[in-house]
Amino acid sequence: MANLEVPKELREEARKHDMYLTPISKDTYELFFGPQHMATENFSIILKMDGNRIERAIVNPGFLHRGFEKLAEQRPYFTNIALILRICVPESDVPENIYSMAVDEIMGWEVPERAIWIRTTVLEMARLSAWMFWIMGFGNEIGLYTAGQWAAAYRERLMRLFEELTGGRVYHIYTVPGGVRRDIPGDRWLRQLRDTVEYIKSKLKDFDEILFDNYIMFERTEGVGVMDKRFALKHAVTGPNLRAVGVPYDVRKDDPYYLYPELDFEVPVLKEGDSLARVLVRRYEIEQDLYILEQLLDMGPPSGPYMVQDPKLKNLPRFKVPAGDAYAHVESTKGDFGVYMVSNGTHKPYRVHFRGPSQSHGVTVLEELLKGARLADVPVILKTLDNCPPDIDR
Amino acid sequence: MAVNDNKVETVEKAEEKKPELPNTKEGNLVRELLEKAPYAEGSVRREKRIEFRVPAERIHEFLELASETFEMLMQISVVDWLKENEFELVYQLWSVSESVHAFVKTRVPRENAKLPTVMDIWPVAETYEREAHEFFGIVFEGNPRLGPFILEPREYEKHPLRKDFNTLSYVKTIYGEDFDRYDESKTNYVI
Amino acid sequence: MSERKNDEFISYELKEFKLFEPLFRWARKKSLWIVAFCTGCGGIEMPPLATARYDFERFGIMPNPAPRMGDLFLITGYVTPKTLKRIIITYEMMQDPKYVLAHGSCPINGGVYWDSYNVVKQLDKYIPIDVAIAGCMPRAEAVMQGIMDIIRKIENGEADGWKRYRENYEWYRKNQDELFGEGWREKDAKRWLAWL
Repeated sequence: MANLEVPKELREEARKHDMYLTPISKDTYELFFGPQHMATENFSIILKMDGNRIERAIVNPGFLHRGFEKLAEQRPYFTNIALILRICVPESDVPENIYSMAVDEIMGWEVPERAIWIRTTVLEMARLSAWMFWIMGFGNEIGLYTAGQWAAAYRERLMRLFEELTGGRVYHIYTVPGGVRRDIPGDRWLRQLRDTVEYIKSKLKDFDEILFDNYIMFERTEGVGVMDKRFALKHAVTGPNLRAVGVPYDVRKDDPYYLYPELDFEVPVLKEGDSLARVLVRRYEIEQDLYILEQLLDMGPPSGPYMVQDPKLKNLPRFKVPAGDAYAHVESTKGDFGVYMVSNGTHKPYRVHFRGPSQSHGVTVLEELLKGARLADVPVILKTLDNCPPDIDR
Repeated sequence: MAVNDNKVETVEKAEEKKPELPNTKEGNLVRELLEKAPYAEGSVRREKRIEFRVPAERIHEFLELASETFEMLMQISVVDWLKENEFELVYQLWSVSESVHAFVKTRVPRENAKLPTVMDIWPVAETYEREAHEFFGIVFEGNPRLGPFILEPREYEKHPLRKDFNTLSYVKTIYGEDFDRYDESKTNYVI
Repeated sequence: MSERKNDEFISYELKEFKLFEPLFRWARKKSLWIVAFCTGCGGIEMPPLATARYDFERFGIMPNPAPRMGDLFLITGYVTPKTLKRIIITYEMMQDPKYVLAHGSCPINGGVYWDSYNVVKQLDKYIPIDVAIAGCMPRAEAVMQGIMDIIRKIENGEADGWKRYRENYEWYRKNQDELFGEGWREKDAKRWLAWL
């Protein structure tokens, strides 16, 4: 086998002659990147280019704005579940869960143990399927299509499990205030989940070989889109992107919800803050998620009801929530996903305001990181920040 | 009547001040901040949630003080209280070092709502302020990028998340009336 | 053959080629290239369709980034006015014959967003749709069924949205101008595509 490693001197030499690094003549133009571009997912960036370098980037979101927050004010509490989960398409359980957590807090409900276990499991499954989706997107962006094909196929296993549990492939409408909508189908489903977890675990080393330990991936991501700790905190960067600059902040550890205080897992942290670090943090997180799911399965679902026993739940369309406000957030694969809910005592929420992680990742952070990057780095930066445009638009 | 009202208010205020801050991490945080900023009111809501109420004129000053412990600005939520004719702005802060979430609430009148920008403290506030401006029409002085951001200019002028904006009648004028959804008796809307 | 439905329409192909029409149709239905412009939440069902489990490449379908080479335009979900401008421009850039497949309830009547101020209620008023799939979110099998319907319609010559668009261009143009205001092409679209 030929050695793929290019000697360092040769690389330096090549870099000297790189016309993109030192443009021959000043050549500035405006480039409209997206929305008709697979990497952007309905999102447009106006790039002020100088040769192949980006001088300035202006983000232009809004292609997915549906006015969720206005619509949620006009629908009863339980109807809203079918609406607000469309905010985050790859992991639609996150908006459901934060919404339910906020209502639970205002109601002062103690959610039964069985429902808590199911909610934690569903959230972790959603995380795992979102990771698979991310591997697919990232692999396709840097030209390693095989990893994408595999990841999409493994995600189908989780989709099948979701379908059996909730009845829906993508939109589950499963977590409701006070518990979950229906019980676990049975032990067979749990066995299938364990099989899937073990299967994906055994496939992780394939992903390592083809994507995470790949020379091409390292070359594309190393030193691209670097941010430091101060910048990240000032720009409210959360999730894996924040852990890639050395801040061990994870909502599951720092503001624990559900079963997470009882579970044993680590928060992977890297210091470099470039795209490579962001990719590797995500790689370690997949491992931790598989580990968490194994622990949950070992624990087994506790017996008991899966819904709060409250006479108010008898008449759902007239279900009223006392006046008050609450903020609930969970750790999604993209970062800290939160909701601020205000109730004024009627059967419709007075104000629901979502905080998507991409509101910071996809606008100000992206604009700063793109300055001085090459055109080919745009999809890499977009995908390693894991930008999800519906978070910004809502 | 007026005398009675005043009495009730004073009693309430006295009661508000009476419950002392608990001797926990959250209580200490509130106490420290209130010592530096006596114009604000603070309370502990529950574990990891604290709340401040600040007059709108001194919000920038207060947030600058708070930014020493609360490193991240997670969101600026606006609540439109139509009856009181006021906008309530809730600055959602998160402290990474202390793992505490703080609501900093302030109120401004609905007409010509104006506030200083906090872009100089947290650059990410630019996005949140653009959003709040777009949907509610609040002007953040010092933010250079206020204008149509997510919406098209036509919807932007309406500031659609205000409570007095009726989406259904707006939709009917723009897209026609042939999509109405009634139940069988043709009296109630089915959502 | 003379009973064919689209004899009523003006034929845009050369008359001499009429003889080869069945051959063209066979070729068209076997090589549908998709314009890779996923316009809503339905885009999430495209990767499973394109990969191992459902694999639409066996029908000759391939995602393709350039609208100039596309045959099939998938409207995968709700359409906001801001996206609709781009959709119309992309649709007009595509070469004839071109087919439109709309996913989900939202392009049909607004779906869950029926009272939303920023979602287009009836897409068929602005660009012609050949096949619409009901449901939210339509399963991958439903999308496959929709694609099979498109293939069948191409074979029968019923997939005539592009002809309708040409013939009723004034009507479509009027609806578009009503929604966006006169002169939106000159004002907005010229910025994205200088040659318009």
